[in-house]
Amino acid sequence: MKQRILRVLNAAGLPVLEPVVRLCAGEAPRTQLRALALTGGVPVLAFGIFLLLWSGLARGIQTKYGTVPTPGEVWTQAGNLWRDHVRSREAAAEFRRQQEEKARALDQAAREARTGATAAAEPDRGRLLERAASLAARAESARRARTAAAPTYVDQILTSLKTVFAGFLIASAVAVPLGILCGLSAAFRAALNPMIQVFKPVSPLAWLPIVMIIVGALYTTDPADAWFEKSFLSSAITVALCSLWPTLINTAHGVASIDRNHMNVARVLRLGAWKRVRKIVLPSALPLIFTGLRLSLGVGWMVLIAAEMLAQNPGLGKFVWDMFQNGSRQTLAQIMVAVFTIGAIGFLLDRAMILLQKSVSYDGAAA
Amino acid sequence: MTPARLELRRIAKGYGPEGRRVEVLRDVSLSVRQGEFVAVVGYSGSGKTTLVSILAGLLAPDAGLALMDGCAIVGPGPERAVVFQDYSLLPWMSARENVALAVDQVFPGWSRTRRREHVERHLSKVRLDGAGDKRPHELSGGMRQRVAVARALAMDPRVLLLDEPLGALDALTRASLQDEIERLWEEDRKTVLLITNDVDEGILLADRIVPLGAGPGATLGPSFEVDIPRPRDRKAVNHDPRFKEIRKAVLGYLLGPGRRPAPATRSVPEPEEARA
Repeated sequence: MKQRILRVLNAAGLPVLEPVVRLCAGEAPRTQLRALALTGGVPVLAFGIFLLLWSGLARGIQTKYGTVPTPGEVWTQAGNLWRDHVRSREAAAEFRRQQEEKARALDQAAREARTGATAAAEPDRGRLLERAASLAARAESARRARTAAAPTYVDQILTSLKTVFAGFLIASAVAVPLGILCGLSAAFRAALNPMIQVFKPVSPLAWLPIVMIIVGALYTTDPADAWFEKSFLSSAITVALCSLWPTLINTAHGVASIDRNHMNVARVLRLGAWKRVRKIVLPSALPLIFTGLRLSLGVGWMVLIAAEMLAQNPGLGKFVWDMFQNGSRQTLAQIMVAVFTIGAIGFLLDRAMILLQKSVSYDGAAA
Repeated sequence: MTPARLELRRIAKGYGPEGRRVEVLRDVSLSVRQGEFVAVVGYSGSGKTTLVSILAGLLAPDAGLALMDGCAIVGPGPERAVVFQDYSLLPWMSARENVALAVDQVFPGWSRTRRREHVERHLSKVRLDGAGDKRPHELSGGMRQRVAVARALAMDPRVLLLDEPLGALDALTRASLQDEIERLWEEDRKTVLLITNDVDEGILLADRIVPLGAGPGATLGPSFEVDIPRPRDRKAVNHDPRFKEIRKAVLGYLLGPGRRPAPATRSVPEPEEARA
């Protein structure tokens, strides 16, 4: 039991909790307490000092929106944002319930009109049927009605997550195959290398306008029946353009540095190209591919916030920008909440990638 | 007269750029009959791995001809199975999958059941019945080498090339694997070329032992027939006068004519070092 919990913790990248488990199992309490003090106590202490310094310094800085908020004020603001979200969801649910009631009443009236029509004679009959049809149509539109409430903080987080994953998927779908080709063929590598070197350092802020213009020109589907919104697409593509490089470079490196003896085995067996990639190249490059994917997701998350800010595309970046433009007394605290949220989500994404890597790589190592 | 199973005619091979080129093998000729077990014994770094790589078709010689059954060797293939020095098992596959990869590739026409039985038979041939599901890193060095041998034998090759297969093992494991190799060879008498740096190992296992002189520009010395009757008992053979005689002759060549005073500044790279 203990061993199993420890394995899960280790796989999840949370070996911090290991002493707690061992302590609960009653194993060498003194050693475990010392380990706990180091892995748990020291970080908590350091964070405490950070918060103290922050509160101490914050009071002294006067901005046009008041003093810099203390940790406590930021915490309150986080609570406010959450309550706003809950209230907004409740209001939306209430609105839907009212609409549903209204629709039911209209449906009822429509049914009565139709029943009346079967009994009535001609001029009345046509009029009643017409009335029933219009009542049914109104019921339908009542059911479809949604509140036009502004997206809440949680909505912005979800939008950002969706966008970063879409961008990350596009980037991976392009970078992994290209990386494999680069790693396998010196000619391919020579062909792509200059482009990689030149485009890699380009800032997302430079890509964004190009992407927006091109998406605007090519993605002309009627917004009513489009699968994606334009803003979503341009953010995701910008994320992809900026985040595909680490995956591409690491994949190429992983494939190029395959153990020569493993390739010799493939040659002696005369494995075909596809089988060689599947049985030898991919598994052996997987740890490095995942290192690249992890870096890419991290870059993508940073790029996304910047892209959303600049393009006013929905998401956390837009939230930060809107707060900045509002310029109320809460501005700074709200932006700080966003900073912590962005950091925490970035951290969780990284952990998730480590978990994924450990579950598919043969050596189980986190690079 | 039927052509030799394996033949090297005046092979030369060197590494490095023009001008600073180091010749590893020079004027190497060797002929191996079908069903013969030949051991090539030499110093480390004398070009033994290069010799095997040329026979396997993994390297092309600079000069000379490498032939199998009278046809030039132009590339690697499963009819010349190699047991590599460092086992070269794929670490993401279990022992069984490593063998099965070879079997599936070499016998695509067989039914799935037949291929599976073939894999199992070869795993038990090298006494790994219980370890089929283990990954290489869960196996000891000796067991890994057994998997590599099983993979090579399961390909049913015409020639088995063993490149210092026991070099990385401790003395006791080495001894037990030597017995294993002799047993396996007795079973189907394949043509085997064994590369080793251990003269006793060569004499114990082979029909014929050929010393490879020190490099650079190593070449093969005279062949010594090992006419000690099989099965050879490793405990008794040490006192066999014929064994002592052959060992003396082989060592005599390696320490005498085969020992070239190498220039002090230049060591001869094995292929692995040459590419670094």
